[in-house]
Amino acid sequence: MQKWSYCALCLLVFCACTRTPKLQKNTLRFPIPSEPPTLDWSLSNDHVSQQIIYQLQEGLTTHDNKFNVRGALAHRWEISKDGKTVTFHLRDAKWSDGVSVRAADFVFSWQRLLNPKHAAEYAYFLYDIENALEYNTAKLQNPDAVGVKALDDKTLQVKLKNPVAFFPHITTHPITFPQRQDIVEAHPKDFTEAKHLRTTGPFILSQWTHDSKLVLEPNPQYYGDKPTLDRVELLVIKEDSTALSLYETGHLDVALRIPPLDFDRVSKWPDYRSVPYLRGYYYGFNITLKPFDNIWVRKAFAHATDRKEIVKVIKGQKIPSISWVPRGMPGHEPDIGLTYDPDTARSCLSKGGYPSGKNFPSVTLMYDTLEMNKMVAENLQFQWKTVLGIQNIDLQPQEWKVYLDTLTRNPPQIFRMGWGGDFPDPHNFLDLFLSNSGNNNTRWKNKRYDDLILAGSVSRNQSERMSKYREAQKLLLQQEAVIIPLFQETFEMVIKPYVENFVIDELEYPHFKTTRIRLTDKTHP
Amino acid sequence: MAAVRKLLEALACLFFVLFASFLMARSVPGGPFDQEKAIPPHIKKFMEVKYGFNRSPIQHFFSYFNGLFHGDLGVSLKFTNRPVIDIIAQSLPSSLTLGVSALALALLLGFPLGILSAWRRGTWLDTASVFLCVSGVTLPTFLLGALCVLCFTHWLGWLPPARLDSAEHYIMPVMTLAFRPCAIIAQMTRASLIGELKSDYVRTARAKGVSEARIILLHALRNTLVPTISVLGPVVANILTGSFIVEHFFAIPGVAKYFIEAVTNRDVFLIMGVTLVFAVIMIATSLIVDLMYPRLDPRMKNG
Repeated sequence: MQKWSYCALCLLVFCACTRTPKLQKNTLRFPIPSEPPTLDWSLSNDHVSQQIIYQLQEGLTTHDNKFNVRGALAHRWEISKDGKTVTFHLRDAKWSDGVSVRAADFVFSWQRLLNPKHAAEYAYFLYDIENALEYNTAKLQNPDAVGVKALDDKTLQVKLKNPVAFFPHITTHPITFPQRQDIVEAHPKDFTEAKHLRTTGPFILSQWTHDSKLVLEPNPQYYGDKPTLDRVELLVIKEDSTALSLYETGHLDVALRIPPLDFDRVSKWPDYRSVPYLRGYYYGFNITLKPFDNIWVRKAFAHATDRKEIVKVIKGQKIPSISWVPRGMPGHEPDIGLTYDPDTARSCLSKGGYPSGKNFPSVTLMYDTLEMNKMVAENLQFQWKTVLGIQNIDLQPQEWKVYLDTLTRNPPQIFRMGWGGDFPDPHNFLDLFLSNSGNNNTRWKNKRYDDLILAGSVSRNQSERMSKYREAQKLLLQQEAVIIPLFQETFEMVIKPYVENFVIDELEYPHFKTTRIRLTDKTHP
Repeated sequence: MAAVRKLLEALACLFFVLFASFLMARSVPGGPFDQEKAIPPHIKKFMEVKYGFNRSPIQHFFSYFNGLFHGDLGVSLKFTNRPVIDIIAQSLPSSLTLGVSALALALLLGFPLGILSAWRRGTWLDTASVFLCVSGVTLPTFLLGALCVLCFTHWLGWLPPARLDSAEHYIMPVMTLAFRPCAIIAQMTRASLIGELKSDYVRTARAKGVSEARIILLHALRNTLVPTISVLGPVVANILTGSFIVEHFFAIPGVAKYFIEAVTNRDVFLIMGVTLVFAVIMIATSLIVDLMYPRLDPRMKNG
C-alpha cells in the first residue's frame, strides 16, 4: 500500500512540476480549427488552408489595411487603354531555396489551376482571362492558348476577354500565387510537405505533423521586412472550449472563437477583442413559392425584422446590418435596405393580401443545424409572429450537407445562408444574386440587376462602378426585397497582452509577419 | 475447424459492413463537393468523374473493393488528394495508444473493484463501488471530460487541458475513456462473482474451512471470467465510440474523430477507411473472445 501511495505522490509531483508549458521564447502559439485540407494553393478552397498559405506565399499583388491594391511580387503593373491587357512587372524576389521568382512560375500555376485534370474548385476565378473557361471546360486542349504569357523572366502579360476593373484584386488571392514546376513535378503527391515546400512569402513551413501541429519559421530569402517572430506554432484544436482552456492555462497565445456559454465571462477580460470581417449572414426567400412570390409579403417580413434583437440574443458583438455589402468593403451602403418598422411591416402585409396575418399560408423556414442558427431562426419566428401575427412558421433544421443539397434542388420558402469575401470588391458579394449564379438559391432572375453588375465589373471609373452597385443593391434589398441581411460576423477573440501588433484582417487572414512577442513580459514563459 | 469457420464468418461480416457502409455513404443526401460557395457545374462534374462518383454506387463499390486488395484505400476528398492509408497510418498510433491504455486501466481497476465489491457485499465499500459503477455507466463522456478539465486543470492546475505533447497529456483522456468500461467490467465481475459465491461448491469449500480469499481467487474467480470476458466485445466498442468524443474534446490527433468528420464532409473513402479499421478491431475482438471461451469453460468445447 505504501508503494502505491509513493507512486501516486510521485505522479502528482511530476504533473505539478511540468504543468507550465515548456516553450521557446518569441514563439506565437495560434489555434487552427482543423487540419488544413491542403496547402496546394491551386486546389485550396477553405479558410484554414488559405490562412496558412497566406503566411507562406505571396502573389502578384496584395492589399494594404484599407484594401487598396499594392504590389507584392509584382512591383508595378499596367493596364492597356482598352482594359483588356494587364502587364505585371515582377520584382527581384526569390523562393525560399534561393531560386528567382519568374513570370513562368505564374504561367505554370495558372495553367495548372485551369487544367480540368486537377478539377480545381476555384478555377472560375480566372475565367475573365482569354480562353481560360474554354481550357477549363476541355473545349480547348492547349494550355498555351490561355491568355497568360511570360514575356520574359520578369514580365507577365494577362489578356482578358473583357475589361475587369477588379482584376488586380483577384491576383491577391492565394489560388493565383506562383508554383514551381520543377518541385511540383518532382514531388507531385507531396510537394506541400515541409521537406519539399518552397515559399515566396515571409515564412517557411519547417514542420507539419498532420492533425496536430504546423510550425512556421522566417523565410531568409523573403524580399520584404523579415518577421520578428522566430517561430509560429499552429495547433489543430477543433473544439472552441478546448482552445479557450489552453489559452487560459498558458498553452496558447490567441483564442479566436469564444464559445457562447463563456462569452459573458470572457468579454470582460482586458485581452478580449471583437474584430469584424467580411462575412454576411442573411435570410433568403424562394421567390417562386407562395406567399413569397409577392413583393409586399417579402417587404413585410424584412420590415418586421429587428436585427439588433437578434444580435443581442446570439451574443458576441456582431454588427446588425440592413445592407448586404459588408462594412469595411468599398461599396458598403449602410442605409440601403429595409429597416425595422413594425407599422410599415403590417401595412405591407395588408397590401400583400394578408391583413394582420389572416389566412397566411403555412411557411417553412429552413436552417442548418448550428446552435447559433437555431437561436436566430427561433428569434425570427417569434418576431414575425409578434409583429405580423403570423402563427404558422415551421422551423426545419437540416444537417449541413443535406441542407446544401436541399437549397440546390428545392429551396424552401425561407432559408438561412452566409457569404464570406474572397477579395474586397463589392462584385464579390453582389454577383451571388445574378440570374445564372450557382449561389443564388432565391430563384430570383432580374435582367436589370444582371446588367448593373456587369456594367459595374467592366467600368474603369470607380465612382461610376459604385453608382451601378448602389443601384443594384437598392433593387435587391429595397425594391424587390429578395433577401434580408441580418448581421456581419465578427471574430470574438482573446489575445495575450505580450502579443503585439497581431492583426487579423477583414478577409480573415492573420498577419504573423508584423506580430511581435514582448519578450520582457514576465507573463510569457 | 471451428476456428476456421469463425474466421470465414468474420470475413463475411467484414465484407457486409464495408458494402453496406459504402452504399449508405454514397446514398445519403448531400455530396462531398457540395459547399457553401457553389462550384460551377462543369467543375463539379470533373470532380465526380475524377473520383468515380459518375458510376453507380455498386460499380463504385466494387472498383473500391478491388483497390483494397491492392492496398489502395483511395484518397480523401476533404483533405485534398491525401491518401486515406496515410491519414490512418499517421493517426492510428495515437488512437491505439489511447484505447489500449484505457482498456488496460479499465481491466486493472474494473476486476479488483468488482471482486472487492462482491467480497464485501453490503458494506460501505460495496455501496461506494456500486455508486462509482452507476456513475461510470450513466455519465456522458463529454461531461466527464469537462469535469476532469475543470478539476485537474482549472482548479488544481496539475494537468494540461488538451493535446498529446507529453506523457502527462495522456492522463486525463485515458481516465475519461476508461471510466465507463471500468464501470461495466466491475459491475459484471461483481454480479457474476456474487452468483458464483452462492454455488454448491463454494458452500462445500466454506464447510471444509477454506478461507474466503482462497475460495474467491482460486475457485470462483475463474468461473466469473466467462461472463466478464463476454462483455469485452461491447467494452472495446465502448472505448472506440467513446474515443470519438475524447479525441475531439482533448484535441487528440487520432483516427476516431474522422468517423464524425468524414461523415459530415461526405468524405466517402475516408469514411470507408475508418470503418475498415474499426470493423477489423471489433470483429477481431469478438473473434478472440469467441476463441477464448472453450479454454475458460471446457463445457463449451462440447457445444
